[in-house]
Amino acid sequence: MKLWQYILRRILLMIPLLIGITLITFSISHLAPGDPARLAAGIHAPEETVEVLRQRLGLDKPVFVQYLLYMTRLLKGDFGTSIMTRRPVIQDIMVRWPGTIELTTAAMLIVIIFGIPLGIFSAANEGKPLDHMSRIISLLGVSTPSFWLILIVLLIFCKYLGLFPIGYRIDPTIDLQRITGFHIVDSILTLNFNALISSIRHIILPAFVLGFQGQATVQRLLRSKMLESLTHDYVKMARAKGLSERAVVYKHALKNSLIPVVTMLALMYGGMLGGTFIIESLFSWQGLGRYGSRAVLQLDFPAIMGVTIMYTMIFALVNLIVDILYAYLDPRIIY
Amino acid sequence: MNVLDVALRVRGLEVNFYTYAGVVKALDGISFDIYHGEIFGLVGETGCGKSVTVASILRLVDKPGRIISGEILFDGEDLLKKTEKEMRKIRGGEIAIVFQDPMTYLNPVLRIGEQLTETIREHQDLTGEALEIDRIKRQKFTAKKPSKKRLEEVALRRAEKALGMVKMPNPETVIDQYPHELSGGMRQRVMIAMAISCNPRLLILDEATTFLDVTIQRQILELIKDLKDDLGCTLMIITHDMGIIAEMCDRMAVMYAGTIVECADTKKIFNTPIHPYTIGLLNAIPQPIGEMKELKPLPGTVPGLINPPSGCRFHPRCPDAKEMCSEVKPELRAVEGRHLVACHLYN
Amino acid sequence: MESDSAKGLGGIIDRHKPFLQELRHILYLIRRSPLSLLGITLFSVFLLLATLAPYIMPYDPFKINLSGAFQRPNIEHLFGTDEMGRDILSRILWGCRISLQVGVTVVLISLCIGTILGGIAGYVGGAVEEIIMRFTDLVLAFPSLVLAMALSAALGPGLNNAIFAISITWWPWYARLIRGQVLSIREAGFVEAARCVGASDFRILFRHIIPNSLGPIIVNASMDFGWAILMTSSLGFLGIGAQPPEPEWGAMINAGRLYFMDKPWIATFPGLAILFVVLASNLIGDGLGEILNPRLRRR
Repeated sequence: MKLWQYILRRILLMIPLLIGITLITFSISHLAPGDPARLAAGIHAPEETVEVLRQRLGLDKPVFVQYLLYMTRLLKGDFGTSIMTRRPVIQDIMVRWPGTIELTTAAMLIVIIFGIPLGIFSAANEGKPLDHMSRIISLLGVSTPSFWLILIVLLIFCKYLGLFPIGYRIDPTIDLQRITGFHIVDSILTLNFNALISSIRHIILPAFVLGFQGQATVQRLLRSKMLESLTHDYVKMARAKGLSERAVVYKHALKNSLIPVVTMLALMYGGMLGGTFIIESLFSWQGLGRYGSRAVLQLDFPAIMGVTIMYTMIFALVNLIVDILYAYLDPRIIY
Repeated sequence: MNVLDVALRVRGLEVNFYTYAGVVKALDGISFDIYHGEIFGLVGETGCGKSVTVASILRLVDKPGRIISGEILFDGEDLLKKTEKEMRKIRGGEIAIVFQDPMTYLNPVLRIGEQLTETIREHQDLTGEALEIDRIKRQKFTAKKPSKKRLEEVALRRAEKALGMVKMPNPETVIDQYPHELSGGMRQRVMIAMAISCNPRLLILDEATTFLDVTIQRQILELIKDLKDDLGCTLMIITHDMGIIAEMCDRMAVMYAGTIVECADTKKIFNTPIHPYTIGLLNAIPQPIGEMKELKPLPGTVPGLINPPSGCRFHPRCPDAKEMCSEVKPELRAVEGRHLVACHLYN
Repeated sequence: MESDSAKGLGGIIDRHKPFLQELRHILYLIRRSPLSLLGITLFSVFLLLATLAPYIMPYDPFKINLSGAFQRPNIEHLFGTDEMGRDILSRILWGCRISLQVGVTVVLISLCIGTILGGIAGYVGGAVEEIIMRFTDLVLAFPSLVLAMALSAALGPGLNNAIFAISITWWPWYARLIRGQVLSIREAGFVEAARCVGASDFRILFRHIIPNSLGPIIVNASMDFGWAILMTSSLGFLGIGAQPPEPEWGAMINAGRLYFMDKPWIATFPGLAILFVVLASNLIGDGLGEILNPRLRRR
C-alpha cells in the first residue's frame, strides 16, 4: 500500500466513526433526566404548549425514529436551541470556536517548543544534574492540577507582577475587524499592530498553563523513549560504524523515539480540549470552553451536546492528521 | 601481502562487568594474534566471551562492563590508548563489523541508501570525485568546495557499488527501500556492504550467519571469501559453529569461559587437538560418515563467571585434571611451532 | 528422578525459586531507585492520613461556623478556615479519604471492564474482536474530559456519578492494553504448547496470560490512580463532580477561587494536596516502569 492509499482509507473510515459518534451523543442526551419538551418550553408554559412542542420535536416517537430525526437535524446544522442564551446552539458555536482553536493551537506550540527539546536534552545528559532538574520539573508539571496552577499563576503574574492582563482575549478598547475570528490572524491581516500585541499578551498565559502539563508529558515520554532507543542494536551498529555521538542520538535514536511521541500529541490535544473548559472559564476567554462549562452547570443539554459533538469532530480531525503523519514517519505501518 | 606480519595483536585483555549480583570476570587476560591477510576464527560456546572480545577491539564495551587491562595492537598501534576521536575514525573505516541479526542492527526507519552513505560520508574523502563531477557537469572549473548534493551523489554511487560487490540484485531499487522490505539474506548482504564500503583492513564477522538458512549461509560465506580476496583485508570470524571454522579459517582459537585454551592452524586443531576442552568439543560433533558411535557430550555445564573456578577455568569438567589445575592458571604456551595451548598437561 | 526435596515446603519453594528470585531482584531495584522510594513513602503518608482521618482531624469538616469564617492559618486552625468557617485541615484530611477511594474505584472499575472486554477480544478473536475493538475506538474518539463532563451532566451532579462517568471514559485504554498483551502471548507460542498438553482455557488464562500481562498493567494502573484523582477534581472544580459540602479537593478549590486574590489559603491547600497525591502516584508509576522494563535497567 502506498501512502496516498493509506490516507484515502483513513478518510473513508471517518464516516462510520462520525456516525458512531452521533449514536453515542444521542444516547447520552437521552440519559438526561427531566423532560426535554418541558425544559425547552419553560417551567411556566401551559401543558398544551409542552405537548405541541413534544410532537414537534418528535419526542413521542420510538427511539430509533428519534435518532434518525436527530441525525437529519445534525446534518442540516441544527443543534437545537440553547436554554441559557436562547439562541440556536450552532450560532453560539460559530461565534466561539475560533477562540478555542487559537488557544489550543498556541498551547500545542508551547508543548512542541518546550517539550521536545527538553526531552532530547534530558536524555542526552542522562544522570547529570541538569537531567535531574528537568525531570523534577516535568514530574511536577504532570502532577499539578491546571485549575490550581492558574490561580497561582494569576496571583503571581497578574496581581503581584502585573506583567500580563487578566482575562479576555484582547483589550476590549481595541477595535479589531473580524475576518476569520482568529484575533492573531485578523490583526495581521488588517495590519493592526495594537491588536496583534494585545492578542499575544492575552494569549500567552492561558496557552502556557494549558500546555504546561502537555509539555511535561512529552518531555517525559521523549526522554524515556530516547533512553530506550539508545539501547537498541542499531544504535550499537551506528557507533560501530564510527558515527559521531551527535549523529547517533539525533539521527538514529531520535527519529525512532519521535514516533510514539507524535501519537501522544494527538492524545494530548484531546486533553487540552477538555482543559479549555477550565482555562477559558478562569481567564474569561471567549471560547467554546467557557460556553460549555456554563452549559454544564446549568444543565443546558442542547448546548452541552453541541459542544461535545464539536469538540469530538475537532479531535477526530486531529487524530486523522496525526495518523497520516505517523504513517509518513514510520514506513512499517503501511504494511 | 606478507602473511607473517601481525595485523591484530591482543595481549592480556581483561574485561569485567560490574553487576548487581557481583563482578563478572568476562575476559580473563586473553591473548592471540591475527596475521595480515588470513582468515582467523574464534570459536566457543555461547557466553564464553567472543562478543565481548569483539566489543573490546572497537572499545564499545557497554556499561556496566569495563576494560581493566591489556593491549590491543592494530598494525602496531595500541587501540586501548587512543582517544575517542581516533577510535571513531577506526570504527567502520579501518575495522568493520558485520553483526548477527540484520533485522535489529539496521535502523527500521531509515532507508538502506541512507544507512550506507552515512558510513561512506564519514570515512571516505569524496571531495575529489565530487569536484570532478561538478567541473564536468556544471563547468565550474575553479570550484574548491563541492556542493552537498554532489557529495551525496558520489556517496550514493559508492553505496550502489558496494551493494553490487555483495551481489545484491537491483541495487538502485534497494537503495530506496527500508530494511523490513528485504529478506533476511538480503539484509545480511546490506550489512556486509556497509562493512566493506570503506575498505577496512580488518573485517570482523560476529556470528554473521547464525540467523540465516543453511543454503543462504553457504552463499554468504562464499561471498565473504571472494570479498576478502578482492579487498585484500584480514578476516576475523566469530562463531560457535565448528563447521564454518573448518571450511573458512586458516587459523583458529578456541575460547572457554573467558579464556583462550588453544590457538593454532585450523587443520592442526581438527587433526590433532591438544586441549581437553577442544578434544571434548570435537568429539561432541556427530560424524555423518564412519561407524556409528555414541555421542559424547562434555560433562557438566559452563561455569558462571562471577565466581569462576580457580586456576584453570576448565578443571572441574576436565577428565585429566591434576591438583595443580585448580590452583594455578595455565598460560598460553607454544607446544610445537605455532600451536599454542593453555594447559598444565603440556607445560 | 524425584528427589525428596521436591516434596513438602522445601519443594514448594524450590519450584517457585525463579519467581522468588525475580521478586527479590525487583525489591532490590526498588530499594535502589530513589524515585520509587519517594513515591511509596509519599503514598503511604496519604494512605495513613486517609485511614486515620476520623481520629486525627481536629474539627468536624462539615461544621459551619460563619462567625469564624475566613481565618488566616493560625494556631487553632493550621490551614485556616473557609468561607463557611469550616476548618480547612479537617476538610483536607476528610478529602483525602474521598480522593483515595475515588482513585482506587475508578482504576478498579476501568480495569475490570477493560480486562474483560480486552481479554475476550484478544482471546476469542474474529468478529467478536472486531466489534469490541471498534467500540473501543469509538469511545476513544471522544476527548476524555469532554465525554466525562457530558456523562456527568446527563447523570446529574454528584461524586458517584462523576466516578462512574470517568470510569466509562477510561476503560478503553485497559481494553486495548489487555488485548495487546493477550495477542502477543498467544503469538508467543506457549498458549499453543499448553493446549497441546491438554490445559483448559481457564487454566491458560490464569497461569499464562495474566501473570505475563501484569507488568504494564501495574505501571498503568499506578499512574492512572493519580490521573483519576485529577479528573475527579477537575469535575469537582467545574461544579458537576462532588457537590458542596463534600470536602472533595477540586470542589474546595472551586469554592475558594472567588476569594483567591486576598484569601489564597482556601484554595491553595487543597491544590497542594492534589499535587502531592498525584506526584506520589506518578513517582511509583515511573519507578515501576523503569524496573519492569528490562531495557531501562542498568544493573
